[in-house]
Amino acid sequence: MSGPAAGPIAELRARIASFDTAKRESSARMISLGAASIEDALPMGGLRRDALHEVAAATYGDMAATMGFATALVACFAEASPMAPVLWCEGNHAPFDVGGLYGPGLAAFGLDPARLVLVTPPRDVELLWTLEEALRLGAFAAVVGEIDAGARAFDLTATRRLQLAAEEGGAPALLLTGYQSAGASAAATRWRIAAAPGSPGLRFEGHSMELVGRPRWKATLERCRGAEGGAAWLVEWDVARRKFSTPDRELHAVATRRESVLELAG
Amino acid sequence: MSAQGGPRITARNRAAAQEGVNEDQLVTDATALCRRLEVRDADLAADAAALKKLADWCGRYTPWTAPDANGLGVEPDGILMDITGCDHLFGGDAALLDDLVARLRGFGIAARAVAAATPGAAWALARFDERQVFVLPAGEEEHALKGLPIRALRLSHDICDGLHRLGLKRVGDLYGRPRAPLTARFGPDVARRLDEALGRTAEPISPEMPLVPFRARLLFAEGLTRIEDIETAVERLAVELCDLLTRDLKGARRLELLLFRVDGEVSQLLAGTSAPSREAKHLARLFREKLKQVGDDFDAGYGIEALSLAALAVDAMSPSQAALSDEDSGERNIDALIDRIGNRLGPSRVRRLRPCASYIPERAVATVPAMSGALPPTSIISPNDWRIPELQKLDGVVGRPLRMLACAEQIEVTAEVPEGPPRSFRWRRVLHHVVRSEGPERIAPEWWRRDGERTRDYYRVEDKDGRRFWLYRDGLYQRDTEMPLWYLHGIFG
Repeated sequence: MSGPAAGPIAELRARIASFDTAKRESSARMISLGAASIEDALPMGGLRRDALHEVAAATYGDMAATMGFATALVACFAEASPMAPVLWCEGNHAPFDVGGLYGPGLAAFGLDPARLVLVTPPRDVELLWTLEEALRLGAFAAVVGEIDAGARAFDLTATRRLQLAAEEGGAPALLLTGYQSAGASAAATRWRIAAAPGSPGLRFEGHSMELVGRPRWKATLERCRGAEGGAAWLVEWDVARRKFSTPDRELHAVATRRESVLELAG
Repeated sequence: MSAQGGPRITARNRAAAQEGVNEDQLVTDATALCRRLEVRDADLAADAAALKKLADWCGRYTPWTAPDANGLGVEPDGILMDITGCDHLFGGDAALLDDLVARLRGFGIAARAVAAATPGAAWALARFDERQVFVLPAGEEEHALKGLPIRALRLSHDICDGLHRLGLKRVGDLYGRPRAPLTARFGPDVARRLDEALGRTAEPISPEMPLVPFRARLLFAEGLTRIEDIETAVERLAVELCDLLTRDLKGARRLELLLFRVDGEVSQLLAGTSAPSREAKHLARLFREKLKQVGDDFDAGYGIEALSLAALAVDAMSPSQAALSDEDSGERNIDALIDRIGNRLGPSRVRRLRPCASYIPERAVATVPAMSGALPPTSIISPNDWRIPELQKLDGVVGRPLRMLACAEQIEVTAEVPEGPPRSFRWRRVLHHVVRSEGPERIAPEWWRRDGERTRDYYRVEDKDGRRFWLYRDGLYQRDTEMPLWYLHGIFG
């Protein structure tokens, strides 16, 4: 890592590292996202479990995609600690006004709805309090909060507190911060998500349109502590494995799908 | 105020009393007596509320306190307290009453306090005896009440008037009198009230007074103002309360914390638990957030001079359950956290999802308050209840939206053919061009509900930019309606 003549610098770095609690990391505290190309860009080859991660949308129209990506991340975290519940603080006002979490949808997405504890705090202050308390407890697989980056209560101090609480409890915090550009933050990573066409779907004879494929998003690692941010990928969610993949790196043959029965009688 | 002969005086101040104005006097007589008399309408509701507040404040002496339903006039004018077993905390009955009257004087309230062995005797002496503070030794009721007017027996005006006409003016006049003629003429009240006052029959104390067996109290010589001190006091109370609960093998479900402020205000804080608990630390923490919210009151310079913590509702709790809660198991901790969040934000704001047996999308899931008792372990809800195999289409395509609107929103749709998939649609003023679609997934209404729902044809669509939506056409074309409307129901991630 360091040059040959950087002996003192390396020593100083080592000393700083020993002060910083964040550097006491082990691979057990990392969550693998499943795609090699993403993991190469992350400092320890995965997302830290005891840290704050932010997920933002590129535009208001990408809020749905952002929630999809965030849910997939939560499913990744939940998969890593199979017994623990997930606490999700819903923000019901704009820009989070695209509906409430839907159990069957979550189940189909790979996140067991029975593990969810849903909280709807009336104000942002209470939302931050709830997140912090839940993180400190350390008994959740993930703690998720929806708070607008433009909100008054949301600042560097708030993220710093959440980051410390996450470190203390060893539980991952995930913030959905809407589409506004956030200011300084203590988060370990910040992702910015835009909608992307799903995996190629089938086209049946006599149909003018393709079927809808697996969900995909354009994910940009906007910031990453301990590494260079800015990398972007087209990611696809693999429900069965609860992992991401990067389809433009791996050759993706369109599998022939048998015709699925679509009729569900009431 | 009363109807007969016009409005009457219900209460007067000292200056008016010196001028000769009396209670129950006609207002016209009173103004004739005293030209400068200012007359205001009586506000019975406000009086009752003030009395209730004062009764709550008296809770610092005993939990059994309530406004006395019987008043000298039409409205209640006293507070009934059962100080059995509480007097020793204050150094005896007389010391308790002295303290009570002195504190009330501090609020500018002139009060008389009498302790007696029967509520009836105490009532009578408090209203018709001159002494401001008086403790009547048990057994002396007959002698003490002898010289008091008949009205001291808590009888109605009509009965008092009737007895007067018979020449029975003092309570003593009734002693030893044959009861049958009195009962025949005035009903059973006369004999009953007399017996109650003299302690010959037991008088049940007002059922309004709650029986709270699990209660702990702390009094302070000086008002507490620092919130940290109050928190410490609550912790001490919680330990005391948990000892009581342990003795009876109970766990608290609902708790009440009363804060008695120096100026006579009483604040009540309530908290609940999702599972019976007698863990002092947990119970004390339930109030921490609430205390912070009322914390502004403390800053105003008033202190808290007494605290009382009671378990209003308890459930049986075996020792083994308690042992479980002592160890730091994750599930227990989560329950405790849910309690705390629910107590701060409101129980309805912390919920869990529960699958329901319905194909109608909005009825397939219900949210239940997470505090409504222990949730069945996740293993009991099997993944099959969510019908995941049905919803996970082949090849990992997701069949149900991640988020669903509470109320489906109407959209403008263009389709090639009326019964075909949408080509483009406008939702929240944004136009989306559909490039992929799947459907229809036909969901028929539940025939046993007769609420006029129609068959819905659901489509999963993706627009040019890769945004995925769940749309439906409400009603079958031509069979149900000529112009079916389109709705957007949910979004896929």
